[in-house]
Amino acid sequence: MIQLILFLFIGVALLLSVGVLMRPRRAEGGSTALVQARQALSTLQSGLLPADMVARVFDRRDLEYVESQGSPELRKLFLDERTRVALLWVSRVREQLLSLREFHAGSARFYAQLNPLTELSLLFDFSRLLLACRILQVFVYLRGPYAAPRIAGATAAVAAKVCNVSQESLAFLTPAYAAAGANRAARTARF
Amino acid sequence: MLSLLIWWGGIALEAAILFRGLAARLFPRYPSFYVYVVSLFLTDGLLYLLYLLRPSAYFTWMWYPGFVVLFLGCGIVVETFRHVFSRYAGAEKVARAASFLILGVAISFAALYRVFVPNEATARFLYVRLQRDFLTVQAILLLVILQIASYYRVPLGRNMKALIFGYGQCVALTLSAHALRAYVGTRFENAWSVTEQFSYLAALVIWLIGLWSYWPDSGPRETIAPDGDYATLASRTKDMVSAASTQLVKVERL
Repeated sequence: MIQLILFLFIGVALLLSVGVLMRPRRAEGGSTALVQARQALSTLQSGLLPADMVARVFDRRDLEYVESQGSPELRKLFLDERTRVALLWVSRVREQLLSLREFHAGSARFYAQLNPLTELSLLFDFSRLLLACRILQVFVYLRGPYAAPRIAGATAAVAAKVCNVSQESLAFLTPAYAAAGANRAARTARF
Repeated sequence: MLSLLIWWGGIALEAAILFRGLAARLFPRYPSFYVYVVSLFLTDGLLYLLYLLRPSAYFTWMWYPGFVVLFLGCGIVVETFRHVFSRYAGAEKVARAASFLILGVAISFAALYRVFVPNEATARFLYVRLQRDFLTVQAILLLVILQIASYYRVPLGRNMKALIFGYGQCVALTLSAHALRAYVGTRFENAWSVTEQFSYLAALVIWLIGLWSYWPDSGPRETIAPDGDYATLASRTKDMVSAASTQLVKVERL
């Protein structure tokens, strides 16, 4: 029975993998894709995830104000919406991490001196962090955004940190770098 | 009758693949694959002649070419490895390390298995057992290659996709059918045989379509060429991940 399960598992896993292989893939991460990633990050930082905005979303005073109105329905509606916002935020954090992982893998694959053990350790770190995001989603889903009093500050800190993480990973795409790249391309074109 | 039809169909498809390989000059590009198809074509053709002329001899000899084809099938995995990672030194290094590790584990397992579980060595029994073991190793290697290619976002051309898809589905289905046959017993014999033959025919059709002409593996459109070396890149990513991790752990503890 164990043999049957083992061989069937390998067979089905391979079948699924080759099936995934045939799916049309998103365009590979060339320079254009990375510049787009940089733009998306700027949008996130300026419009969606600045620390003060996140702190405002999780501000307990809003809950206190709604509670002072004395309507249980209103309180429930408010909590539901805030939970949705918090969950959306965690999913954005996950997206940022996935983007960072994608960027690292996209760069690392070209290095001949790549260290498989380092890569394995990074893969483990990414997996751990992505799992932590999932746990956090469950935490917010079950206990709500106001379950812990210090969640707002810490959430804002994580938001800032993750934005910095992505910003650092895309730092080489500054205007100066882009200009240098254009110069390189122009020099190459002459040959 | 169905088996005969599949046999003829197989020979015709193998001939068509070889013809297209010659016409589109694909032989030098995928040598291991075409050596495998040539061996299949010769085996099927010669065995069919033997079947027509000396049926008794056919049943004596039918298992032996299978061993050669079985070993040559590994060439497809080698071909896949060579083409998928040819442009990505880093990804190739990880794949090579993982493959050697898995091969080592598989060989050790096979050796120990023979020592502790000896069996009577009839050709058929050995073939079935060897086929299952080979297919298992090939399936695991293909899985590793596909996972690493997916993690490092290595793009594949149409030829390579067809090669991997055709062989992958054939290996996966044959392995699953083997496992079920070993568990269910002779009741599954017919279903096993039909599954194996149809998955093989499907692989031939996929190869014929996918390798009709040459499609190069699509490399990265522009090389990113990051400054600094790998150690810098890895340590930078590690720092970022641990910083984000610390913050997330703080949130979880609240």
